[in-house]
Amino acid sequence: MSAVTEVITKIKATNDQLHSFREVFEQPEEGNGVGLLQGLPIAIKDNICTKEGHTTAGSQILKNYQAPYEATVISRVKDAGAVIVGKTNLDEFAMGSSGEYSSFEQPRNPWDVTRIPGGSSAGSAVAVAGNQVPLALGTDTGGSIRQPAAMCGVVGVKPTYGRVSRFGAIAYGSSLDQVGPFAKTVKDAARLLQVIAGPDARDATTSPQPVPDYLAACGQDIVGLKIGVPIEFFGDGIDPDIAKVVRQALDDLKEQGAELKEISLPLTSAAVAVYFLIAKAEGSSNLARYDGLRYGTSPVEDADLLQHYLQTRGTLLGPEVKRTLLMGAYALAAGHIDAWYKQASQVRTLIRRQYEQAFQHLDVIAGPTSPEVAWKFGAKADDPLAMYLADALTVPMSVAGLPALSLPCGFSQDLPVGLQLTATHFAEDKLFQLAHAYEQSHDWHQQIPPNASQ
Amino acid sequence: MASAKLNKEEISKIAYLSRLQLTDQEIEAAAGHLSEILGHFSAIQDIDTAGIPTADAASDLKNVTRPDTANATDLADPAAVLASAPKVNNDQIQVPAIF
Repeated sequence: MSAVTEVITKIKATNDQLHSFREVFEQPEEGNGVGLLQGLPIAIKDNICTKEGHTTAGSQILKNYQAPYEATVISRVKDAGAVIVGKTNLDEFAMGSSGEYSSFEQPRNPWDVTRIPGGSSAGSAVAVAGNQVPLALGTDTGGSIRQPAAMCGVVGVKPTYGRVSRFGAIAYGSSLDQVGPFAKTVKDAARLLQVIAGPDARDATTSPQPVPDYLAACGQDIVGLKIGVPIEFFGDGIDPDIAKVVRQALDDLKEQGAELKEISLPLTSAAVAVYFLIAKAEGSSNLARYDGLRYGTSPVEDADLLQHYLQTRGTLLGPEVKRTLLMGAYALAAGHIDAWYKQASQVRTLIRRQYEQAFQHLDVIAGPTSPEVAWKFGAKADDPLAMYLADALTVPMSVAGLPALSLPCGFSQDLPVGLQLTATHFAEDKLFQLAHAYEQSHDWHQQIPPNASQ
Repeated sequence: MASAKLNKEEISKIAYLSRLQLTDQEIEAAAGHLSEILGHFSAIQDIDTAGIPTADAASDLKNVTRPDTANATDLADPAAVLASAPKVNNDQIQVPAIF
């Protein structure tokens, strides 16, 4: 247990500055499992239910919530020997791209504490980047693992829709959400996905497809692997310096034997609208259950039922969650549903087909994870559209249900830049193969942020 | 094509349907933000989707079933459930009257 005690001491020494953890488990349950994660400390995004501690989803409405059951991914990491050391901060209900929408403390980027860490799995990315823990779990609906991984300089994976059980993960967009790993290295991310992937009788959307050996994929050579490079991923709205760093990474992969092929995915620019219309519609429906009656909390005393609902939700939900409820209800309302929700769903089919066609001739599609590096706190505070557009390069894969991985590939303005790799459904092994080959020929993963734990 | 302009009355109406009490300031801000966001999103209405099915199934799975059997490990501990309820009376969760 001494390794774990050491980790908890490290977390406590740095958490006042980084605010990555919302809750630290002082005396974590000793791992009783034997497996791939033997003795490894792991941090859990606070929208994944654990029996230990609280599960708040970053929201005041669940401030006191103690889940009566644990998520399947939690049982699996415990069975593999991991030790859960705490719950990490996030944008409220995983809605946000900066971490600033947490209703608790503001998680900070360990590379520059005046900047956002990205979101929504902000605390999980910071905990790994800041050397507090070697592993963390996050959730990714439209980029919530990949984007903070890119901004904090760590590896983050959004698995294929259906690869990992969501049982016990608090729902945002049910046709999009996936749980996935954060780690310092590609191999550690592969190890964690290996443990959590696979069918679960408690989540009917999990796939029975066999789980490949992800660890074996790390170390296979990449000669002849075909990488598609969409021109749209380097176009308008992408910081030219990020484009340069990512182009260099792609040239390095070519040097290692991969084949680069320029392609076009013309519907890329439609993905932000499609994603947010669908995610907000699903989110508005999923969040109907938070009423402060059966669990959670409510400031309302002795009001009738309607007043109780109105006041509890009006008082305890934050700005982006309120926007979700309004936009989602609007897009689904009679008179609006055809023009907004249904049209978005039809364009979603077209985006999927575009990727299916592209993957007939390609192994992987590559580009930047984020159009910009971590921005200063408050820079997009009153501009939700700008915040949404920051997800432009991660939402297309979410809409198509594809697996995608972000790994560090250099720096711009002394801040980390992420390379995003996407494969066809259930081909996470290809992502690990390529990412590991790139990682091992560079030293980005050994760079330590100035505000990391020593 | 649907208009992307939302006024304060429309925001108030959907907020009420969403069981969400908003301040006047929040209603005004939401009208501005949602009009701007949907104005930007309205570009997708120019994409030809005639004859294209909606993407209702997020995966290829169909008719996922399981045996209809009770499983004790699927049940939460009643004490844990009650511990998370805001108001408890006689081992039952107390809520406002519906009528």
